[in-house]
Amino acid sequence: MVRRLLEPFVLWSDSLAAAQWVRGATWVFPILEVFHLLGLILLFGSVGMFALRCWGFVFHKDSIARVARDMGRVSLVGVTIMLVTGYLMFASGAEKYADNQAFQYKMTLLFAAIVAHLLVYARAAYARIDGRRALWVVAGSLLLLLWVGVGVAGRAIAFL
Amino acid sequence: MSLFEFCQWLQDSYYSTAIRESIWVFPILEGSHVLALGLSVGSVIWFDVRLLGFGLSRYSVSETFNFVKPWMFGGFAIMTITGVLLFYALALRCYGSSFFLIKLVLLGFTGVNIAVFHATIDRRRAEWDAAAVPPLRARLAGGVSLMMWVAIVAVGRLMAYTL
Repeated sequence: MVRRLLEPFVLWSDSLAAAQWVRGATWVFPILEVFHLLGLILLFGSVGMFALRCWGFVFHKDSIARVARDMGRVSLVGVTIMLVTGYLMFASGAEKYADNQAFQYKMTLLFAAIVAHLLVYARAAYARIDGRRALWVVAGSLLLLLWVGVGVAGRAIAFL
Repeated sequence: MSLFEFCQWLQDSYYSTAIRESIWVFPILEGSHVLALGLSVGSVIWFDVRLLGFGLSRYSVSETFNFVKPWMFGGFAIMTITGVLLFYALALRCYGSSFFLIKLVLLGFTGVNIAVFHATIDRRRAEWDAAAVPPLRARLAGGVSLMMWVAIVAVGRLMAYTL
């Protein structure tokens, strides 16, 4: 259903000059992959530290709000790099990827992860006190779990 | 036995073939090797950032190290185990890969960087532990580490295309 609704977007992506550029040169795709992974390190590295703060393991001198702001900025950089490089790689073979089941799972999880990420960080950045710790433990763990899910589904694309 | 013959012998062994041709084991090993980057490099960058004096100055260098230590060591343990098994499964192809050779050299250089850091400036850590900007040699160690990991990730990813 969603796949069919998005068909115009898939075709449009496929027709972009940028997509043809990625298809055209053999070295572009691998370079995009490298930057995709560097973005992953920033994203996982910062979401990981935020989750650790939620669990109470690190940055005890800082409030959750402060850590959410600092780490939130780093994850934004990571996510932006991943979205740009990821979209270019997708566009280079849009039809093929759109039909790949792992890719479909990845996009579903990605949507959930981004929504959860924005909600949790926006809420955390203005959290006045670190009360209701259980809530933050759940929020931090959920974020980490969602992003790891995106990563696992993403790695599976290559094997389907 | 030459290095080539050794790699050939490894790759022809029963378990190497089993991993290489398995439906689940190889993808799981490779997937873990890639995703554990978030744990290993994803945590070591914070220590490097602290050594460079780029942030986390509210925490001493020792405190920062203690924060990342379990995740860093855990991450690099996963990297080493999965990496060795992936090499074992593709030994001959790794032998022929210049990217693999470069990756080994870079890893060796990173090891030397850590060893030099521990043997020199880190011995006097108590003197600069709380300093917002650590001394030059410590900053150098952090900067080299950060650049090496970026290079190792790049070479590792490019290597997979040429195997």
